[in-house]
Amino acid sequence: MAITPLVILAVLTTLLLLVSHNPTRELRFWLVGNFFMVFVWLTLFWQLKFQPTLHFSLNPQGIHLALLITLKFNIIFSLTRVLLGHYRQIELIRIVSQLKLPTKLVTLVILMLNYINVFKELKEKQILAMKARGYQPQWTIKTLPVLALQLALLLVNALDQAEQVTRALKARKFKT
Amino acid sequence: MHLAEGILHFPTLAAGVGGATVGVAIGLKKLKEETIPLAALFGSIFFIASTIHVNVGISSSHLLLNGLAGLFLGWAVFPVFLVALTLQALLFSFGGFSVLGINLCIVAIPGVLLHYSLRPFLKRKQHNNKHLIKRTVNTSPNLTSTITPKRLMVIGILAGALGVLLAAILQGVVLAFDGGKDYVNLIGLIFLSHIPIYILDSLISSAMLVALVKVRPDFLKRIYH
Repeated sequence: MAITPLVILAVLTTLLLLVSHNPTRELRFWLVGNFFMVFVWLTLFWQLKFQPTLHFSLNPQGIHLALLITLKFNIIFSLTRVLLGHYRQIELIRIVSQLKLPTKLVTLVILMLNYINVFKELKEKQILAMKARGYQPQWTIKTLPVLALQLALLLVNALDQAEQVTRALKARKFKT
Repeated sequence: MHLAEGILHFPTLAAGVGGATVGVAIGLKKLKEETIPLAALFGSIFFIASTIHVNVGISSSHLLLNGLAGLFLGWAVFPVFLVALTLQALLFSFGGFSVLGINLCIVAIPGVLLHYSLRPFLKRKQHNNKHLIKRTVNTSPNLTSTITPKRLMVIGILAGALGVLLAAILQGVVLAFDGGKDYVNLIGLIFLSHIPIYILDSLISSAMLVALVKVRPDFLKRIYH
């Protein structure tokens, strides 16, 4: 394994930690991102051999491939976080508006970013109210109807808000 | 259901970008200007739904709901999920930008397929069914059909389960195409690890569809107007 990718990764990780305002958050993202790598390692580092009897053994080629994939992932991940991780919603809207994208797509992005913020708050309120009543999401049959109703109500609320937004946009002569 | 960065080679990534570009172009063409707010709204709801985690043993699963999204949005699921996946990559580091095209195809194609295969069942007349419920749902301006909760439940289960299953199959096909026999075990493990999501998505989609029509009897009419 060449040393260059490791150096690049080390530089990018240091940069990421330096530019990040919240290293704990970055670490959480890194852990989430590397979850798939666990799958890769679990399935590539071993092999089955049938001679003379059936037994497990290490797979050097698989380990090399897993290492390569992990390095590639972490370099791309760190680079993306360093370059794009610090953008806030309002900056994203400005960037998207300036890109030469189809107007329908731009409208979709702007509206979705606005709605996501609204529904995130709504969801947090719902969860707070549910927790106050002793609700804890678990892998049980009781959780599912509650979760479904929570989402259905979010959607119903969203439909009402969408109608209001559409009317408000039309009133302000908004055109895509 | 996201493929991570670094695992696929350039030809596969390029094919994914090509497929996603075609899908997004068709989706944008079919998306009427007056329905953009509605599509954005669904997109944001499905984005929020994907952040809801349910504990499964020591791990946790999150909802995908691509089948239900496809059922409601049709081809518009492509641009909507493009935005959702981009935001997920940007805000939560799920997936990534180089695999955005292929991930978009994996979640959106099942949605489109389910839209065309299941939507007719939401419209069909059922006047001879003795289990009809009292509530009548107008699903199109010309058709007055009555949809039983049982039918809605089945459609929801199919949308949820098939949405995830087809996405997992597509993911497997992509990995097999890209890595050949190296990824055989990985494909198997991905399939197994998604079992809770098949169950969760199908039950949630079903209950959600029934709850929606119960709370808002005119819901389907508004979607398929």
